[in-house]
Amino acid sequence: MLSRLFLLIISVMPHAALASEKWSENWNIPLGYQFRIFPNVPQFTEQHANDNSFFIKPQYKSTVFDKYDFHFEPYYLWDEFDKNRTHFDIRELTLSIPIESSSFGGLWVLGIDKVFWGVTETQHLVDIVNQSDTVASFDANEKLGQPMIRFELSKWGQWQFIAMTGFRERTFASANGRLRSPLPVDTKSPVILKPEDFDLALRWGNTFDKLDIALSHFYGTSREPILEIDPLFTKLTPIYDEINQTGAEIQYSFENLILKSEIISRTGFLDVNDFWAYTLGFEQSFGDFFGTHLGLIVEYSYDDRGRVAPSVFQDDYFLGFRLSLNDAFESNIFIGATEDDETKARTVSFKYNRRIMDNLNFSLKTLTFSNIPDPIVDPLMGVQNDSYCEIGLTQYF
Amino acid sequence: MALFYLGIAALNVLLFVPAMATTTDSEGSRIAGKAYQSARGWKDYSVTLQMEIRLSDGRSASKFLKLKNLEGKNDDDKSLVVFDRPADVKGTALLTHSYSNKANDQWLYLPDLRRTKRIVSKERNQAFMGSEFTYDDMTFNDLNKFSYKFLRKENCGSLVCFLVEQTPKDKEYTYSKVLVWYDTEAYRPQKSQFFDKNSQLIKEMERKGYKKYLDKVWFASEMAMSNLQTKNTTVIRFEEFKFHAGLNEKDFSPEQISRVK
Repeated sequence: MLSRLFLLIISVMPHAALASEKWSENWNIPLGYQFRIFPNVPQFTEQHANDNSFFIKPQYKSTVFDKYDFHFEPYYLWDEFDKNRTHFDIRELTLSIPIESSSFGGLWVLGIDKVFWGVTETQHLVDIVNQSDTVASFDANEKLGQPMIRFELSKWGQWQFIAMTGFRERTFASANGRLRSPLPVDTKSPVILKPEDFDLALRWGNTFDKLDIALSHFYGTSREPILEIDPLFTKLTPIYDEINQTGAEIQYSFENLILKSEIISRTGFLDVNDFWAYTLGFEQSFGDFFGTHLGLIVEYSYDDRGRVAPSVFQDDYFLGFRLSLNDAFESNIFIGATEDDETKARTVSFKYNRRIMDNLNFSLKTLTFSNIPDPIVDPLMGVQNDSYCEIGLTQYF
Repeated sequence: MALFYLGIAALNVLLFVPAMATTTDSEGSRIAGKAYQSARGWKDYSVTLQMEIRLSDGRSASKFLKLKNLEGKNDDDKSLVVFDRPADVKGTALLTHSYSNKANDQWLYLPDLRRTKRIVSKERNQAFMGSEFTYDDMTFNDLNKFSYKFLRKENCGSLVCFLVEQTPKDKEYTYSKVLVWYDTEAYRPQKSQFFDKNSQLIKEMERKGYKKYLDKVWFASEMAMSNLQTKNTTVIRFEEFKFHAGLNEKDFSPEQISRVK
């Protein structure tokens, strides 16, 4: 089925090219360079020190046959040391076909796509359609493209029906890479429990004045693997369970304040996958702050699995500030800290972004880990020496 | 880009400042009311904008965006801004539903994450994308937010203008007073002066290249704002106005903003 889908989309590509008179205007091509500085001696001898990486993420958009949208977004990341970090992915390759009707709005989307669900900031519990590309971004904001057929319907709210195949495994750093688990993850021999490669997802969302509500359900192969230690203590084997996950998103906005919450309940073949979790919090805007704009985010996350949860957010508070300098170059600063209520394990993230020229961006990121407790019990244990500073330049063509 | 959306703000009806009055003198109210009429009744339109920010130290920055507007009942308009350049914000979209009787709704589409996010609406006195224009300067102003006083008639360029003093009823408003020169020919705002809380003149705006559309509404094709304190200026040029483009409520729903071109 997957290959047929590809054939269909590939066959449309020449039309997409011809349909566009201004070929170059349909492209936006970011080319990025990052230098990561790891000031601490690595925890594991094979791990590398400071490293260079490049990425390219061309985006192409056009209209075919007058009314169908064609999008293409390949992605390539090259890392100096980490073989797993160097990878290619198709983030998006879609054909969107709107269905005209007076009583409802409908849309078919065919191909490889990214779908985002959720309202909170620290983690995205409900967001399950796409796999996290954790080597591309440690905060799981980068996602792998997922092959799917999706139907969207606007009638009594917003509906999404998604059928997926071509399961994507999570990316993990190599043994010599930084920001990895205490034992390297053996990405070459994952265990996938569900026999058929076919997943289903459904979401309904609606807005009632200042209240946004969404409910979703997913049945298929879990995006979050259980990492099992092999008998020789040399590696971790990712086990992808067959799960059902129901999620809810609730959001209410006041004039300068938005309350946000996400909750999920998951059941799986493995006992460890029977749990529930939530994130709740608020985002407050302070408006004018000495000519800048200041926003505050506070969130709390809970995971029923407690300390065995593979998640960082199982009993954690998050406090973050966003400062927009509001200058002609749109400089921004973000500072966020997550602290575990019990162990006091803490991560602090700092991001600064500004435009140097119209097509050139500069970014500075730091991520620091502290108070990481007893090795066996904390998911951050492998990264305790991996606090880093990243200097990035992105040129847009 | 993901987390950093705060520099972006909404534009509603860009071409027009205040109108209408409740108290104060009747001549001021009449002029403002006429001006209101000459800028409303367009139903829907789309336009492209080029914004040029010139800083006093010689540096400059330019931005390109597409704006779509849908006129609503009781001035409850809907607007959608899609950024085209700088390239790092290409595809980012900001949707605003304005309400005369409650806080606006605002959503931001972040193309990298494919995420449409509800955001706290921007402060009215915030600069738009680092320009000299604030929200208040750009957005549609409620008819009843000002008191109007006709001062005198005087020459403004090649035209003759009514000079009207507009005082906000809300003490929290960005400015303590705005002087607006409306031409006597068609009641188009030609020039505005903005005064801060200490009654100091801080900014001056000129509108140029007025054109009549749909046989009734006047839209300027250029707006230039000068900050008299910082000496920075911002010029906005409007191109390719398209009226009655068949836009409807659906095109301004949060679910749609990811698909707008």
